[in-house]
Amino acid sequence: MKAFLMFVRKESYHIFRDPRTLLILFGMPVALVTLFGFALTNEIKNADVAVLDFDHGVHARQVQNRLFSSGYFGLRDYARNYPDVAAAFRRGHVKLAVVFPAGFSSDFDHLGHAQVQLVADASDQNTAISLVNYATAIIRSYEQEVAPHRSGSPGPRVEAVARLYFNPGLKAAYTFVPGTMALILLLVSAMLTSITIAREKETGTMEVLLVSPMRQLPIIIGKILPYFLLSFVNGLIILALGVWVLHIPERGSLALLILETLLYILVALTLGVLISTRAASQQTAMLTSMLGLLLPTLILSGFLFPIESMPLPLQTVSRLIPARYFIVILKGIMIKGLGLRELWRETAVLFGMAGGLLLLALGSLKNRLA
Amino acid sequence: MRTVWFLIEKEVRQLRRNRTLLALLLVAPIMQLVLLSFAANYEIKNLNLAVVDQDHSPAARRLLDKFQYTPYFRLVQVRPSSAAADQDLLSGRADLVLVFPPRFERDLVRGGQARVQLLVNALDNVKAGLASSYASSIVQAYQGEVRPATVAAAVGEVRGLEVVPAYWYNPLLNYKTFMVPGILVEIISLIVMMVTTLNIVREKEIGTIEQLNVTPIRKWQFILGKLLPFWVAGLYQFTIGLLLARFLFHVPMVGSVALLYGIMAVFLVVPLGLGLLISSASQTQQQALFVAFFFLIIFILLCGLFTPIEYMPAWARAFDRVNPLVYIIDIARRILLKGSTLRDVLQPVLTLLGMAVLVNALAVWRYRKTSG
Amino acid sequence: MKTAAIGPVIRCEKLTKRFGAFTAVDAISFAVAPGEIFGFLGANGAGKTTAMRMLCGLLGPTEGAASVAGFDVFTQAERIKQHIGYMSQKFSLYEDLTVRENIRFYGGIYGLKTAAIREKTDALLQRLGLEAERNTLVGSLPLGWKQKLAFSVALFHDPAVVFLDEPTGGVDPITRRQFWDLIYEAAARGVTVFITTHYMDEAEYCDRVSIMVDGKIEALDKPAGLKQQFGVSTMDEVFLHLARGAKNVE
Repeated sequence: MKAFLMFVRKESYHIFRDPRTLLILFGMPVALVTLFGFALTNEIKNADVAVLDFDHGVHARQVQNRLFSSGYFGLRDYARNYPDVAAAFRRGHVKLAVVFPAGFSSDFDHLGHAQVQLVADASDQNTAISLVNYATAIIRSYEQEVAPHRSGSPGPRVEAVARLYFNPGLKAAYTFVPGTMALILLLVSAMLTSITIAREKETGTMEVLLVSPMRQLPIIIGKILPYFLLSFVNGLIILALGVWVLHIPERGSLALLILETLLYILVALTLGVLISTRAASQQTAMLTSMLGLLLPTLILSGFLFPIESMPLPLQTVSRLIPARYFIVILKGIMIKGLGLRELWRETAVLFGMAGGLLLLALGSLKNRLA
Repeated sequence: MRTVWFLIEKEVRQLRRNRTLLALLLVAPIMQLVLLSFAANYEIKNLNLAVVDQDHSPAARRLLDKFQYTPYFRLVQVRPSSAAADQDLLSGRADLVLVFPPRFERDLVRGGQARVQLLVNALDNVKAGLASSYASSIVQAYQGEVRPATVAAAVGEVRGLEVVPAYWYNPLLNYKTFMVPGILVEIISLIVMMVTTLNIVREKEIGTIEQLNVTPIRKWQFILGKLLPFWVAGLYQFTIGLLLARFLFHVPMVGSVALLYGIMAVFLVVPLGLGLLISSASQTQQQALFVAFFFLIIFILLCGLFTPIEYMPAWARAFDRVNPLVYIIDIARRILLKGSTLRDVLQPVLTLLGMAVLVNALAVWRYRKTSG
Repeated sequence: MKTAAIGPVIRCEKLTKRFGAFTAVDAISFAVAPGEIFGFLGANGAGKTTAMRMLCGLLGPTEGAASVAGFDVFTQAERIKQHIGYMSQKFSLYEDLTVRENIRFYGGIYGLKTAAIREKTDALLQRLGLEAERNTLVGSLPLGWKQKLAFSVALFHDPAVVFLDEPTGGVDPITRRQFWDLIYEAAARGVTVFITTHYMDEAEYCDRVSIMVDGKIEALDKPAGLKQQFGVSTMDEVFLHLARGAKNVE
């Protein structure tokens, strides 16, 4: 036990003697979480729009007023013809053009039916879909107001009343902030451990430790412990940022939230240990952890893309991504106020991952000795 | 130039012997592109639907069937009460709960007006918005069906204001058309920048750099010799990626692929030079890696591939002016999907060229043959 | 190989290097003649590696004057590099390249013609008896061979001066002897050898020896002269006598 404590102390010296590492450890996650917490959003604000008005009538003008006073859209260009629209798209200034055909206003007044066209630059598909959806909603509300009798056609009516749970304001932050927190915490913790151990292997100090009378498990734990504490402090800072700076509510049990964070960090660190015991050099350890973790976590964890829409094999792959479970846990505790009773499944999976990764890491350490 | 050639020869030989690095450089990007491109789909379907049917009428049954016939919803739970369905929303088992109140059918037939309730899990704002708009359209369509023929005839074809969307350049809204070129340049940038970031500083740690520093090698020769092998690797990745984009993902290629190639060749010098700059300014591989990671993750997350740049706050948009990924993704999309010519994309190309020159000049300047 | 000046090939006048308040090399002055084997001794931390790195153009000096092969250390560091060879205490050939590839690489970097590289490589391998190992990875050679190879690579472009920083650390006595044979061969061809070492028997092999203590050169003479000056019979005793008063010892 005494040897073990000495070992932990030695590791801590390494960390605290190097101010640059410390800055990276604490400064970087804070910077990144804050940065992405504010910058990542899919809420439309003042999107640039071009108008192609062949009508010049009352309704065309009114619809435009509606669009541009909504706060979602801003007028960028008046186009004179379709090639103008195409040119604007090619230059990339605007992503949506609203086209009023000639006779739009009089058709609407006299025939009760008129068409307005929304031309979207779908090479940027997401933006295109959301712009069209928002614009459609605004035009619908105008129609309701000007000609309520028309939309409410006679005959039986079915009204759908929607109630939004958990996030009635439809804030994008509720989606993006928990994802960012999970991503950054995983990457920083896993990369840090994988590099440190691979470095010791390269400089040869690992060999010295491995031939020492200490058993392997204490070695791994001793390696992990200081980083575990550091990452934990990091996790707390990230949670605090989420609540106080990025305004994610904390409706569930704080104790549970902290324990789950600890568990997640443990998974990240054992992942780092595993990578480093398998890698031949620092270089491969670093490249593996960067390439293996960054994009897969970003894309397969459900952070940005809905898992239900992925092809089945990839849904299976996404089950291997620790962040997937932590994101569910974060949202569950913080936003929905859930407890362990509802989240035991995700928690159990993370436990399983930590245990499994630790066994694998021990296994590859043994192989190296044999 | 001969000196540069000897440096390149050396790098290639070392690379050939480093199987792991070689695999990371040549195979990993392709695997990632294929895997991630299939997953990076914003399309929302298979939403989990729970139903609370307090009416148990054929009318309710028919509306529920309509939900199930779309690809957007799949029925996962039938609950006796709203309270039970609330639990499904809480636990995440359901994204949407459809509630038929008692006497739904009677209200519809006798009173001519009935209501259903939609309880939406709004945690994910986009999902929630789409779920409720899909649901409303299904209910609208249902309403049209239950309308008696006599009434329909009397009303005629009054449709009010019709909104006709047209999606140019990607009329089928194929997300791969949008995602694949972006993911491709992200993966390439990530890999080439990481590899160069670790390169010089690794020679520092091993000590071989000192032997080079006592030779009369020029600083620019050194940087160029380090850059070119990985530039070729980047172009190789791009070639395979384009082939996959064309034949596996069927990304349309309207404009000149040769032009895109030329621009890619310029672009690649930016992440490569940035990697070399970080590498020559760092003392240890660990330090270099973290600095590179910091820049890369910002470049990748803010490049507009995942959330539109237009919606970001002003400071983030200002940052994106120096984000090389923004320019190359924009150029790639414009050339591939819209057929833009060099004239159309001249401005971003010049910006990339400027960045390439700047970071490499900095890398040459920062590389020290002499300390102290 | 042309040298810019006749006379001393290395010349230092009050050469000084300070790191902040700490003076690592304190106004040292000496001159080394062409073809001389010059031993540069001192305890760890005495400043000899710092001094040597300044002469090689790896470290910028603070003040004083120095020239190597007729070029000024302050202003012509890059020109010096064409005329010197260097072998550091840390082995620095590429372990993941073969013997032949390492030689070819350094030959190319110094601007040798391809044909010349091939010819000289054959001669070099023959001299070292490494012909059978030409396609072996350097990393898998025994340490002694690696060091002989590193020395030969440092001389490959026929420099006027070769700087050796503790070249024989960790090598067995027989290999050490062979290594010195290579040094004598080089000196006989007119190459100036500037060497730091911890082995006092090696100091005896040098034409002249300087001993640094706390950044200053405390003694400089032929080995026999030094022993006479301090009235002792071995270089070991000379060294101990001087080093005992040192403040900066690691």
